[in-house]
Amino acid sequence: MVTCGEYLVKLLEAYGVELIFGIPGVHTVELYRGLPGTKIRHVTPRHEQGAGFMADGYAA
Amino acid sequence: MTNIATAMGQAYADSVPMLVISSVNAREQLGMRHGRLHELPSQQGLVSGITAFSHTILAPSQLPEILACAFAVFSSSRPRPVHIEIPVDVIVAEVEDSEPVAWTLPGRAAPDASQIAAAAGLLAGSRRPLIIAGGGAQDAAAGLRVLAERLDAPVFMTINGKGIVPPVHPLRLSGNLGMMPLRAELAAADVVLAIGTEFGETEMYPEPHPVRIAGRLIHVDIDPLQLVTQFPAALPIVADARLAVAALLSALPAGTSSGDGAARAGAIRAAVDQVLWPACATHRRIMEIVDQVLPNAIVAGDQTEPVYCANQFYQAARPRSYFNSSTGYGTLGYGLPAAFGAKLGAPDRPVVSLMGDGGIQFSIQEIAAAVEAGIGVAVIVWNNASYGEIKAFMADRDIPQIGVDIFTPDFVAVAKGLGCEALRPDGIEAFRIALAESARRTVPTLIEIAEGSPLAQQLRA
Repeated sequence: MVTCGEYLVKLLEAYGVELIFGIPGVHTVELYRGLPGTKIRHVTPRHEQGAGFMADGYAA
Repeated sequence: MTNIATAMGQAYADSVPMLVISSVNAREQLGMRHGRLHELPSQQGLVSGITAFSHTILAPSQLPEILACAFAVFSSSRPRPVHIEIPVDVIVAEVEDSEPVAWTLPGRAAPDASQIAAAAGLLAGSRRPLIIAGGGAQDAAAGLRVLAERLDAPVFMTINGKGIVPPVHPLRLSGNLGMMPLRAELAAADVVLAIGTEFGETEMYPEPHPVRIAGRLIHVDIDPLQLVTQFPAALPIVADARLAVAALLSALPAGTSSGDGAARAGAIRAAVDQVLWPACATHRRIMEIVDQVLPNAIVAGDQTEPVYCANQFYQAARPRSYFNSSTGYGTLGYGLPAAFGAKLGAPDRPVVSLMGDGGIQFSIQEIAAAVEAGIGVAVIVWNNASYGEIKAFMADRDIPQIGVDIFTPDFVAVAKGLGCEALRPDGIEAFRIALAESARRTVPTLIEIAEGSPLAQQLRA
C-alpha cells in the first residue's frame, strides 16, 4: 500500500509531467514523500504567485 | 491557495494550461469555522472561478479519473488552469500500489464539413479577404501561411499570435486592431477569417476600440462560447485551429487569389508606422539588438513601456516566442518568473524578460529561485522610477499624479544580492555584450536601462 499523495506523483509521471513548481507547507509535505521515487524535477519559487507565473511561462 | 490565484487568473485569461494541486483541511473539518490553518469558507468555491474546473478529492478512488479530466482539458479543449484539492486526511489515506496508468486522452475536435464547405465558398468568392490569427492559432501556423498565400490574404496576428507568419512575409500585417489602418481594413474586407482570438481590448492598447467587421466573419475557435461573444459570426466554427485550417485547405482550390494582398499588407504596414508611439523608436532599437544578439529568443514581458511598445511593432520569428501580461487579465510581476519558466521549458533557446521598475518589484525575489535552479536569462529592466503608464494615464485625465512616483531601489545591488549578475551598460556596445554574455550564464543577468541615461539616449537616436 502507498498513500494517496505518493500515488498522485506516480500518476503525474505517467502523464509525462517532468517539472513541478511548489513551496512545501505543513499541509502539503505528504505530497512530497513520493517525489524522489519519480523522475519529476521540483523547482522552489519564493512565493506561490511566482510558482504560477513560472508554470505559465513554462507552458506558454 | 490565495497566493497563486492571480497567476491562475492570468493563465485563465490567456488560455494557458496549468495544473494546480493543493491541499485543503480534512474532510470532517471543511466549512466548520474552527480557525484552522489555511481555513477558508470554501477554498474550492474561491478558486473555481479561475479554472476550467476545480475538484475536491473526497476519496482516493477519485484521483485517476479526475487527473484524466484535467489532462483531457489540456489535450482537447480550451486550455485553462485546473485545480485539484486533496484534503490532508485523504493525502495520507492508503491506496493499493498498482501501476499508475495515464488514460488515453481524447483528440481535438474537427470542424463540421458543411460549415467548411460554406467557408471555402465565401473565401473563394472574396475580393478582399483578411485573416486574423490569435494565440489559439499558433499550432496551425504552417497551414495558415499556405492558406494566406493561396487566398493572397493579409494576416493580422494578435499579441499571442505573433510569429504565426514570419517577419519578412509580404502578407504580414503589423500594429493593432485599434489603430486606424487596421480598423479601416476591418471595415473594407468583404470576408474576415478569424482563428483562435477573442478580440480582447488589451490587444489594442494604448487606444482600444470596439471591433467592427463590415464583411462576412468566419470565426474558428475551440470554445463554442467564444464564437457568440461580442458579435455574431456568419460562420461560427467550433474546431481545433490546425484541423480547421487543414480542412479549409482541402476545400479551397489552388489559385483562389484576390491578387493584391501583398500591396494591401504593405500599405497597412506603412500606415501603422506613422501612428506608432514616439517611445517606440527607443524600444524598437532595443528589440532589434535583442534579435541580432540573441536570435530565436523567447521574449516574456510584463506591463511596462517596452512591452506596450513592442506589442505594436515587434515581429516574432516563430510562434510561442513572444507573450506578456499586458494581455488578458493583466498583472504586474509576471514577466520575470514567466521568463524563468520559459527557460525551463525551452533550455536550448535564449530567453529575455522585459520588465519595468514597478513590475519587477512585485516579484524580484524570484531571482533567488532562478539562481538556485540554474536558470540563465537576460532581464531587461526599463527604469523610469515610476508606475509610468499609470502616471501618463492620470496626466491624460487631469488627475493628480499621486502614488505613481516611486522610490526604486538600486536594482544592480539588489540583483547581485540575490545572487545573479547585474549591470548598467553605458552604451549600445556594452548592452550588446551584456546580452551576449547573459546567454552563457547559468544565472539571470539583470540589465538596467534608466530612462534618460546615456544608453537610453543612444537607443533613441
